[in-house]
Amino acid sequence: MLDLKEIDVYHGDLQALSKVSLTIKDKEIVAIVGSNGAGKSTLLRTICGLHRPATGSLSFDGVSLIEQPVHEIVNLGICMVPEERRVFREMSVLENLEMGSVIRRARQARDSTLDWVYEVFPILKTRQGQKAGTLSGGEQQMLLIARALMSQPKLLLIDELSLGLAPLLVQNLFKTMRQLYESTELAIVLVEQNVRAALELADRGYVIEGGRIVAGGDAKELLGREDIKDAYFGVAPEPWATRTKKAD
Amino acid sequence: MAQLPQILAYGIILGVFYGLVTIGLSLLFGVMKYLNIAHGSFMMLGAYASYWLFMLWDIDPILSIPLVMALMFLVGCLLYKLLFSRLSKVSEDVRINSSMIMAFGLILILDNSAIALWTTNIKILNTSYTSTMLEFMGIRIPLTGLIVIGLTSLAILALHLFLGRTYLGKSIRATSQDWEAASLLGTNIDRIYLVSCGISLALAGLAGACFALTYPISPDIGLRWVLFAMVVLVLAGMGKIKEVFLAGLIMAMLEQLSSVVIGAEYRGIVSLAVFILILIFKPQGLFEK
Repeated sequence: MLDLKEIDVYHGDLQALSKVSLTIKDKEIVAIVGSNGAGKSTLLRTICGLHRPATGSLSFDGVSLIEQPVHEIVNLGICMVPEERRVFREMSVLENLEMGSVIRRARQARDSTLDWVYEVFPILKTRQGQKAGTLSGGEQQMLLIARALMSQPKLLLIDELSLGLAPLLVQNLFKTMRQLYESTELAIVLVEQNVRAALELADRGYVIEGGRIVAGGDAKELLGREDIKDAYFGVAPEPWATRTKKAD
Repeated sequence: MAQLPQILAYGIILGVFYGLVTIGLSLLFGVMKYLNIAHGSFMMLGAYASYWLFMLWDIDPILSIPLVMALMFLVGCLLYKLLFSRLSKVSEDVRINSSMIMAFGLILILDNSAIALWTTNIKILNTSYTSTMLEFMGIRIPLTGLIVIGLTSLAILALHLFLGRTYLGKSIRATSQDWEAASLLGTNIDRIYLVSCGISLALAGLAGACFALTYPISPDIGLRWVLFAMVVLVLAGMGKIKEVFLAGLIMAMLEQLSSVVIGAEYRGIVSLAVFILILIFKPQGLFEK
């Protein structure tokens, strides 16, 4: 479905991605994990056309995305949920959702998509007249996902689903993502700092570090690898634990 | 103090007018972060268009408003295609500075072209109702003032419905809040900018037509009035739409009252003093919480 080959991306003089190759197949859920600043968000933004690769090829269902404007890429069926809860704060929840179905093909099916999206996130229906800026963090994250679904994507890219949310909320959101994935034809790419949770949810995973893909494969396999455990699962004691020890 | 109600009545007309001149400027700033200080000069063009349509073809200035607005809409699209689109890829703070310098160049070109074409002589659009005065409880109100208020209310209602009810209008609002998020949903930002530029100048055209109805026209009115518009813009908060008229009314009332208290010749000082005070104490605008 999505095919990246040897992608290089620069921010000015700084190389953000180097020789990144990856594929996303139809109807699968893939986690892209790595630490802060590894290039995960840059990768997603490149797929959406917000950054342009200097070299390499990038295609979706056989169509090259390199020269396509951002809105055309959405029209082809790729929709991204940006990080930092970028809802349209001054617009109502319903209006935010309507903005999701701005492309022609989605506009025709708007009402039925809306019903379905309200089924997935019932809380949004009860909030539909409210300004999006007044929603809680978790509700805003749901709204972002729902808004992206309104564009009837084939591939959903989600940037930092869990960032800044309470653990219980994250668990629920991940569960919803799993259900969504199982009940539709959607392919989902999750970019996460929460490495364990993301790999537990996904079918496959890629580990990105310093702008390069350093590991990739079956998510369960990645979860079991010692080097990945060491790098991301933090076996070192929590800071407060050492502090209390000293106090003793 | 007997003339106070009279002065306040004129204040309302002036305030609505300030709002009308500012609204297009504010819309463009809100959506694109472009500070088009040539907005007044486009208003001047609109005023001349209205004037010549009346003089050459005897089209009533009220009836010609749709024509003037459509014309200015096209000018706005052209302006975006030729000039402003070059800035749409750069970051927002660069846009403010660069668009302002571009617009400054435009002022020079437009104002001097107007002088070359139509001389600096004052032109007055004289219709049968131009100097008609209505009396209402002892207050004399010019008919053209009421027409301006009526037309402006109509335009605001139309703009409000457009921005609130249509897909394109909602897309414009979404783009003004977060253009990147809007583009990630499939909004064609370039098209939104094009339309916004057109609407902004169409509103400048309406302001120009209303100007021609009430005031004498000369090539320098653009620069003079855009200064007032800048004060109102800052007073309302950059890029706000609804607050613009309230800010316009506040400023007009302040000016009118000061002309009673300290004399009409000093009223220009009042608006500029307000400008400086707002920038020092409340730079985010009067209505920001």
